[in-house]
Amino acid sequence: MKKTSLRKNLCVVKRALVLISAFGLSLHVVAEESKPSNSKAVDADTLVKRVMAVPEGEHSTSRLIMKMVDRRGKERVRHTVNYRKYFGEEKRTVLFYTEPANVKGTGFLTYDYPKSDVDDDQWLYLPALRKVRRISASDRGDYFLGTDFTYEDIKQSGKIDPRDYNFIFLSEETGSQGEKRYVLEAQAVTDEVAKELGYQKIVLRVNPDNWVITQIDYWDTKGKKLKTYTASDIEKIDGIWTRQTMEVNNHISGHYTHFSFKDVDYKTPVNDRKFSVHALNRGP
Amino acid sequence: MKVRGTVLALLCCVSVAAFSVEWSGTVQGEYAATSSPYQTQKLQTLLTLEARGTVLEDARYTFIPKVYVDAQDELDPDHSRPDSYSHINGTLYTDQHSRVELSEAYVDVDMLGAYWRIGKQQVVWGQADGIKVLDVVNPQKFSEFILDVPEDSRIPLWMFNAEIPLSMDMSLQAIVIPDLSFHETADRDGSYAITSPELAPQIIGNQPVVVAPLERPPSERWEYGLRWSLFVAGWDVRANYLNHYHDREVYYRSADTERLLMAARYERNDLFGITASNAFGDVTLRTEVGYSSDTFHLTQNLANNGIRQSEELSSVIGLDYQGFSNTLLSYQWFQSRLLSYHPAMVRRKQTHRHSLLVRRDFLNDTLKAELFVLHNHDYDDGMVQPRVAYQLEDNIELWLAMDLFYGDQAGPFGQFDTQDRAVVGVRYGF
Repeated sequence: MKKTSLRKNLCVVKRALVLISAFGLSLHVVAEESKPSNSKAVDADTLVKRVMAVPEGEHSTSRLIMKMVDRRGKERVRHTVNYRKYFGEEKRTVLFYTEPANVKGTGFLTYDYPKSDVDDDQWLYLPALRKVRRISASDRGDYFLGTDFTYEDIKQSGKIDPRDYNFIFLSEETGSQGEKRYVLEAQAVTDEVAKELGYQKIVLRVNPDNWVITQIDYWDTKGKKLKTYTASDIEKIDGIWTRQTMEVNNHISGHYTHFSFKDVDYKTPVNDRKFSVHALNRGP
Repeated sequence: MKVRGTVLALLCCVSVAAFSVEWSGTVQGEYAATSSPYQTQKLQTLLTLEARGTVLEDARYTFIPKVYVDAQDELDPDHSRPDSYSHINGTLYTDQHSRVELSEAYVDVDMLGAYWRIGKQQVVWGQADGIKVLDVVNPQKFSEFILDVPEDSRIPLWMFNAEIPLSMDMSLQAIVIPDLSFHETADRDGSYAITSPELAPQIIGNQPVVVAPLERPPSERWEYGLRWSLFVAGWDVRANYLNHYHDREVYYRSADTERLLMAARYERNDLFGITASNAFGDVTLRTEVGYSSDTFHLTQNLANNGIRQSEELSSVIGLDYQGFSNTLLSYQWFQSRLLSYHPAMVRRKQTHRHSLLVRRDFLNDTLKAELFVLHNHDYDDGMVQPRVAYQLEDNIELWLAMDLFYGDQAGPFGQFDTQDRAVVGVRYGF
């Protein structure tokens, strides 16, 4: 039995599962009232504040289809059901795998606290063990679930933590669809933070019509271009701007990740009990 | 019994057919061979089906039958029905090479302010991996000693299981178990038959041995338990109580000039336990303490019918470190102390075991390599299990592993020193 505990799972990997919900469910929204002026001298910090102010809805439900493709074109697909809810300033998310069979029933629960110095609390339910395990939530620069998103990427739900970077406004440009975009550059505040995140520098492109970050280019701690994130299929659902497709191309490994969110619902109430540790073994 | 089980399975099938059904399953093939001498130990195919769906509006059912086919038949050569099962549990069908069982069958329903799971199921208590202190609600199959995965080796029981939320972060679980089924020990002629004197009664004297039929407890003496759970200040705290029978039968031995009589029966116990776990940066701490009011231990002589009784205090401390990318280091220290130790006991007053797991993921989590070591300080015996698994496709997993035992052959692990084996397997999900 020992052997198994080890074998079928374990924690490190999956601990972010739920964060995925955060990533997908709490999708961005942007307050339309906060459109910037036409001035070229846009203040970078003001832009970042507007991006961060995007509401996410009190609660949400969605399905996620994750596709991971390696450099040889080999594809893996995972299906999950995600729930997210705010309890005051505390965000709780839970995610359950529904496909494929080898991970079906795996559940992941995260309590995300507003204070930056308080680590998240995370639990993993492993159906093979019929057991909920407490897991560490501190490796924010690790990739989770074999995707090209890091735990921090997922936790920030398409945003960024302004405390990690110093921002400067680079330019205003026109995107491929003719949309206006603001380009910002962000440098990690310290080498230590860069090491934690795995990024020395990022360049963001923000759509001022909805304040959604539509593209992020990442450079690793050695200054090498690491990956590019893009968000698309951005629509208002239940009054909230929602990114329904997210992709990451890893330029170093050649690996690619595609997230597709379905049945996103911000209206139907989500029972508080979904977010308790003892509910993990009941599944979605 | 077999007929009753079949009828039950059919009823479940009818239920499944009558309501919404979502089927899934796996087919797993595993081959194991021992090294000295080289011999095929296991050539097994396991089909697991799983049906889930809704009954009425708020109730969901789960139904999991399993079919085992083993062409080799070295692990479980005795196909008679073990006495350890109650009349409502056990296999539906068994013969020389196959076995059919209703692994799990339960209904989940949210009513009366509680969440109910009623039916044949597994309930796991405790924080430790593999080492049992509080994880004793369900009995276990030992045809592969402790090498089989818990999902397959744990024996589901028919029970009532209610989870009552007391607040957002506090709950109470109550279980009542009318199904008095116990461990299925390895066959006497199987590869993992128990011989360690700590666990198997030894023959003392030269008289012929007479073994009395296993004495089962009265069926009305149901087992029951309570578990209180709390999440506070980052800590998961649980306290539980279980009134149960030990799952391993107790062998009493008595002798006269003509014979040695061995009589086995199941003994009752009160188990009190507390667990606590928390994460501190890269480290997760898991702790577990259990107090048993009555444990029974074989002795080196036949005084007191070859058995001495004692209270037992057991604990596990586990540390998981995740500070290295894609890597898990997990260490556990298990110890147990008999509070009323008697010098004639074969078991030692205090025992210690240590386990270490190192696991690393590669290639975007498609390749996993791990090493598990369990060392028993009492006999300087233990086991080592290297394993590599590769996710070939979404629904196809391959693995290669070794199960290596070492140490004193009187020890619970060293007794299998000649049963080192290599294992290859494949699992297909649908």
